[in-house]
Amino acid sequence: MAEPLIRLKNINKTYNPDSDFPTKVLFDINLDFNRGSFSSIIGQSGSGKSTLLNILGTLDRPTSGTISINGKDTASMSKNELSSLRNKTIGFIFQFHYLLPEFTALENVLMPHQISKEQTDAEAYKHAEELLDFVGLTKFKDNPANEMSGGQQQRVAIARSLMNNPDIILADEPTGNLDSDTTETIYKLLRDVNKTYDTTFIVITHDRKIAEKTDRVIELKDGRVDSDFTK
Amino acid sequence: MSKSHYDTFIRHLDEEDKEAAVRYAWNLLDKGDLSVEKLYLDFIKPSLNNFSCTHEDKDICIWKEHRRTSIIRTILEISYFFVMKRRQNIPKAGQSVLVVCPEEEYHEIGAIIATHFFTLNGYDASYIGANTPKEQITKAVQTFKPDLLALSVTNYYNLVTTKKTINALKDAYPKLKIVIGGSAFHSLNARNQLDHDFYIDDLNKIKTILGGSQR
Repeated sequence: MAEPLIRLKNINKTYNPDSDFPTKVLFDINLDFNRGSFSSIIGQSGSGKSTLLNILGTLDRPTSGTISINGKDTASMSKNELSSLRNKTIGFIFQFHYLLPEFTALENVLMPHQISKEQTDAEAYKHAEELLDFVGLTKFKDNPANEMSGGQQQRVAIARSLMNNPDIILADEPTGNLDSDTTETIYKLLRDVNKTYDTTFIVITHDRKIAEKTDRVIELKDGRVDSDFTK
Repeated sequence: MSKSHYDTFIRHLDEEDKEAAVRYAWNLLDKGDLSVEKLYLDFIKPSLNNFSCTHEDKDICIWKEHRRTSIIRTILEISYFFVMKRRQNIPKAGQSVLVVCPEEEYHEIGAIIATHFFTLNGYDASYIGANTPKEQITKAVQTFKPDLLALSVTNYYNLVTTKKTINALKDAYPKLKIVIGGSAFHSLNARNQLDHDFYIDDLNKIKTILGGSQR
């Protein structure tokens, strides 16, 4: 059996561990995610979902335990190595898209490339335009982000997350700010990305309509995996 | 059962001719050409599982599937008359069962059929309903004090709620036997996470529950 793309082993996370009031938020989390899988993480507020996503995205380090991505243990990596791994391997989508408002859709999509490379060449522009086409926004590529609808902005954010051809997309409430019709459009788009690019998705969501369509539902409760059901 | 009976039944369903489908099922049962069990397993089950729709507009397919389910529901209701007739001659199992779909589970055809199967196996069986919150199920168990509680689930997302429901029931009523059935439980991964006593993947297995301890 192929090694999982992401492996979390005995992950614990405590905030302020040396203080008088340490706050433990994750307890012995063990999870594997295979390449091309589409999983959701559900749970009440405060259950540890976002902390777990931050650890999955190498934005935060666990207090103990290991996280391996593509078979590489991230614990021994320097900040720069982690940053490079993150930029090349992981794309992020958030509830609030964090687009640069006065930049165009195309410029926003190019941003991860500009962060990772010195020069933005014709090939990068072509790729960004292809991604905007994929999310159905070719006509709007030169529109400033702040003149687009919420659904369009989220589609730009999805295109941006794909700019560096990541293996993994981590999405934190990607439809949390959208109406139900737009939610359906965004979900279909995420699925298209999953199928077209074999991208691994881990989606935090409160939206039952999204979670029930994913292939695996992991519920966190009080910092522990309470259930982990696969379709 | 003859294939021509099944083909005729399916044709009535395909034509969405409720009256013809209901009348046809009634006549098969009434003449003794078909048992209730065979109607459920060999006619109704495949008619729902094999439902196909070629419309490009998937919304049309959804309402068509609902329309078929609505016809089937009526057939289930009229078939209860034959369940009642048979029940008089069936030895009592001396056990009671409540059948229920947990919260957000709206697909209840399997649960209704399972209730009838329990009845035909001598159980004192009651169906509570679809989409029943954990608290209401617990209250029902408190009131009826059944020997078995059967949970029917088709949507795998509802396993999350199912687990909470079972845990609450097992905490409050440790002696209550839990039966699970429905397509959501096909995966071993699902069953392994649920504290159940019996898994029914074939309704004919209901008869094995009384004497056994299969899981």
